[in-house]
Amino acid sequence: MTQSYTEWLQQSRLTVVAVDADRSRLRVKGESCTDLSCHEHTVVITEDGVEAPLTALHPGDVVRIDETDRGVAQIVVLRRVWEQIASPEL
Amino acid sequence: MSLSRREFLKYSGTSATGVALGARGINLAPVEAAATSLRIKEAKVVPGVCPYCAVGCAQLIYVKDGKIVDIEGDPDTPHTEGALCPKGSSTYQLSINARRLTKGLYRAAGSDKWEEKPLDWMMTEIAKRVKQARDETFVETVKAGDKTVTVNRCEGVAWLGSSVLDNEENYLIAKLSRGMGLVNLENSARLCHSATVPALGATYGRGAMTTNLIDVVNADVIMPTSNWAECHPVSYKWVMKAKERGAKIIHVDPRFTRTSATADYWVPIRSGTNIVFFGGLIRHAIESGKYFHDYVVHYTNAAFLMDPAFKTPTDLDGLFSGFDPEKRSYDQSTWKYQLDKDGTPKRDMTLKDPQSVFQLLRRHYSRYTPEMVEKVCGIPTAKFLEVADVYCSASGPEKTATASYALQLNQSTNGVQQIRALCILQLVLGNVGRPGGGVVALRGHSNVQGATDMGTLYHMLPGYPAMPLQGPHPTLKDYLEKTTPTSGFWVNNPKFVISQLKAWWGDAATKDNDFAYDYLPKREKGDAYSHQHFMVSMREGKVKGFICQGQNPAVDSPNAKMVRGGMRNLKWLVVADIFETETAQVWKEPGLDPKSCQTEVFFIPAAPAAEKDGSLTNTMRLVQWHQRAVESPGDARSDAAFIVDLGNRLKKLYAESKEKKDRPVLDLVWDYKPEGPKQEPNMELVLREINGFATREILDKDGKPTYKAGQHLKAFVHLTDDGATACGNWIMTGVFPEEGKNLSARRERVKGNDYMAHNWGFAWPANRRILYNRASADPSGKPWSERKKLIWWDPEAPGATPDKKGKWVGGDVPDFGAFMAPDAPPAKDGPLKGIGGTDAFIMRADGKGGLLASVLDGAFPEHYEPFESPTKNLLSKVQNNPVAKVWNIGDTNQLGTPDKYPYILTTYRLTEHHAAGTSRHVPWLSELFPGHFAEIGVEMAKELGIANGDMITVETPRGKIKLRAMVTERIKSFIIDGKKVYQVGIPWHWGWAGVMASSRGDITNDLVASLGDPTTFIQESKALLCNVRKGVA
Repeated sequence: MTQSYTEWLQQSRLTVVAVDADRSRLRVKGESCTDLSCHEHTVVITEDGVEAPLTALHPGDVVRIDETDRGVAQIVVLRRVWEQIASPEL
Repeated sequence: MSLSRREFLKYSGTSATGVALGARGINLAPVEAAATSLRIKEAKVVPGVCPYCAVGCAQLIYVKDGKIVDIEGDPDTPHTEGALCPKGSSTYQLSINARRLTKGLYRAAGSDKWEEKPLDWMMTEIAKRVKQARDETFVETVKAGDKTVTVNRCEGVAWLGSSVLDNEENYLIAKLSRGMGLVNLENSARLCHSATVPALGATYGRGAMTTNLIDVVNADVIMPTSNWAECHPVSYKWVMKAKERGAKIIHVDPRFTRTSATADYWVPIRSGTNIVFFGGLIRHAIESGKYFHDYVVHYTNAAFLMDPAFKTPTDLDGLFSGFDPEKRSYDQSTWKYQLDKDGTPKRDMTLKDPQSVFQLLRRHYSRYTPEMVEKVCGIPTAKFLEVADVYCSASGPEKTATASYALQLNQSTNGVQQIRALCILQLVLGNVGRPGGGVVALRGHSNVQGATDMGTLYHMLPGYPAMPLQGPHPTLKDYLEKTTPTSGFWVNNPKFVISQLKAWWGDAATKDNDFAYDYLPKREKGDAYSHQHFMVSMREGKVKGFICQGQNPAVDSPNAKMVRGGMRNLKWLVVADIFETETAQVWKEPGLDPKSCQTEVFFIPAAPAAEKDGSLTNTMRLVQWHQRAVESPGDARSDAAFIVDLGNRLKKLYAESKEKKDRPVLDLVWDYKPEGPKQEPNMELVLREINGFATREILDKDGKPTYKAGQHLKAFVHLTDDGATACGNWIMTGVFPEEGKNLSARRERVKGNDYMAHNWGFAWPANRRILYNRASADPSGKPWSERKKLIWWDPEAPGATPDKKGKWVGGDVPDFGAFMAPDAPPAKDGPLKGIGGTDAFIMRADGKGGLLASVLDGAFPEHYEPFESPTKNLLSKVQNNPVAKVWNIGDTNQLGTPDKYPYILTTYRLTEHHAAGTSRHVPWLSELFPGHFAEIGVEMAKELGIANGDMITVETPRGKIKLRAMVTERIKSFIIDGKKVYQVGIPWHWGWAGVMASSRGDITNDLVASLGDPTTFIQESKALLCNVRKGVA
């Protein structure tokens, strides 16, 4: 990785804007918003490391999209939406 | 023995004596002044800081012939003006005291005596035991699914730092203990103010007092909710000065105290019901239209729209949406803002949308009517309405109010929410970031703030990054991805964390090994390792060894009797202290056969603040340096010397090790140049590391050097995440900006209009004296009013570059982007990513004050009864905090019911004593109180046939104590839901060790249960149930 961690975080993470599980559509925001069409094998990896369907995502969740060895995208949940309104200090 | 009230008071101290002498026309002041002048003539003067409470009274220590001859308040001190309270005035006796232990003492397993031992022998034996316990209990890796995770964790040793130790000492403890893999790490802040950080943090972004003690003078109304006048007496002068200028004082406290005596209104409140009172005030502010509308709209999240599925206790009879009764926790998936198609939170600037945070808040507190306040808190409706009108009048552009709190709010199973309710009230009234406003968090120890900042707490690293967990944070990337928000100033988290890893492991922390992230211990889970957790673990035999510095858990722990039993189950115990505390004597507790205790005990003689260099951070984030005035007697030395010595010995013991698990110890940067016969480390070297320095030359984008290798960092915005900077604690950067310029040591009195004295010490962050001060100006950048101006936007001031104009200027360091214009859109990147020109709360991801926030037990504070309560919850069917922690430890943690334990018990502190009893070894202070006592009301005493001065027994299911009754009008009964309820007040300073009979007594905390707030695990010691009877049979 040649970027600094801070820049990498700002660029590699996406925020979920909308989830349409019925149509397997996902709208995410990085620099700008993008509409994604999900493959039938696309899975969500929750914060507990469990595979889940698209319905496990909430608008506002912070995710990373990885490509698996099988060439299928997996959406890794990094931060839940409610963490954004939690105390930054514990 | 029976004492009359008059006789009882006769013994109770200086005020009575002063009155008596005054009445005879004798004035001793000139005689005293002459004697003092003679004593200090030709003495060397050394700057000191009072080591008792967190007001941080600067002192002058007078030294003659290598001995302290006098300690006085420093008259130049801006926030104290040279005053000292009885404790501060007796600081001399912390050094000059026949009870001080100055030799190392060893007590063998099962022995009935101490043996005096040389310090070198003590340190050798301690280091051996620490190593053995570490090696026996160390967990290097765990399996998590199909992955192997390095956790480098040692659960067999616990270390208790202290909020009376210096910043540098706490930092060294954090560094060494984490280097060893310890997860059981705490300081006394856990038991007093741990609820403060997440409460203030969730609402405002930082877990620290928002304002400055001196600025209290600018308040129009002041609402202490603790006994400010007696527990933080020197700082109370600012309340009194404000009163002289016309401010009204409303004192909210279960007891009538000297604070009440100075107040315009005393509001007696049943312990544990503060959320109802504050909720009532929030309701009153909104419904009466007295809230600060423009402030609320622009600087809070009031306008944000919440998900329609989000429900509050108004809808769900005491619960928020997502409660899981089996897990006893909330699924917070409905606790979220609605987003528009661009992913931006939707807002209604009219605040009328029913899903707006404002309307939800309004609806939530609509149940907290004056009548409900009366029924639950015991405050008559008329009185409530009277004070509500007065308090809420301090709102809007022209007026502000200050609110303070201490442990009445903290020490509760919903402590975070009690404080948050007060914080929300201040936001609604527009009282944060403005002169005369704010929340004053009154800390009880000299360095509660600093010890917390330095990370001697199980859940965090210095500067507040979270301690990693093994599940979600196996690698540095995982950790940073999951703990770093996407907007707000915390986007810089990687720079804070990586610079800290560089400070700890130096050259061994490289980009290739993720800056030695593996070396950090990883917690197994969140519900573990706090003070109460590891005391229970001692009882269960999981913790084998315990290092305890500057704290007395035998007395200050909740369920203290159970805790002492746990400590007697240890293999070894190290106590470093000035005096022989009850913790050091746990093997010879009265009534116990020492042979039954197989714990080896080591006593290390320590040094008080006057005998060491270092800094203390007072309650208003002010870091002040104190200098070593004299050498400590005998083998006594600083706690820093103990920590550094132990670290060096562990490094030697592991020197030949080839094991991976020992690299974190061996690679730990640990060169603090100890010198002299006591091997005292150089504390400015520690402060330099905390402040941060460049590890190599740093160039700007044009290739111009900005820092040479080794140069001190001037500001935290200069931190990098590539290893070029090392910084022990990012919030402190700037305290030591260049060699020879330790800003915590500067002592320049108030000059000109700089009433907050920016050249006295250093207030983190960046020497800001009032946090969130962007909110002191209106959205356009102009002061809300001339009367309340602090900082403002000057469009003509030179800007960030020669071609630009505009800057924030005024009477404080802006807590904002210095050149960020009021109309600036949210920053797309950079250190303030997501923050726009009206986002006054830059640490929060949304930049707004959080009326609604995600806290484990609710998005808004909701009232639940204390676990021991005389009444059912009148607001909902949910009796107690549904997610609070209850330790299941059998008979030692039974809870009382009102049929057997009908009286409310609340605990508190006195002016003349300090915490768990350092003062009990100080004769001047011990003389001031005739002994341990319980305050009970006249009516209750009459019912029980108890006279003033009678010996009584106070009992809970956890224990019983014997003490004397003080029958007083100061304690009132309450009418709760139509039924009369009595309360009892007991100070908690006493224990069996003390200089004289009056300073020895039973331990109040034996009565307290093992319960915890769900976020912080702080105990519930302000609202219990007890029984009281006459006599001690």
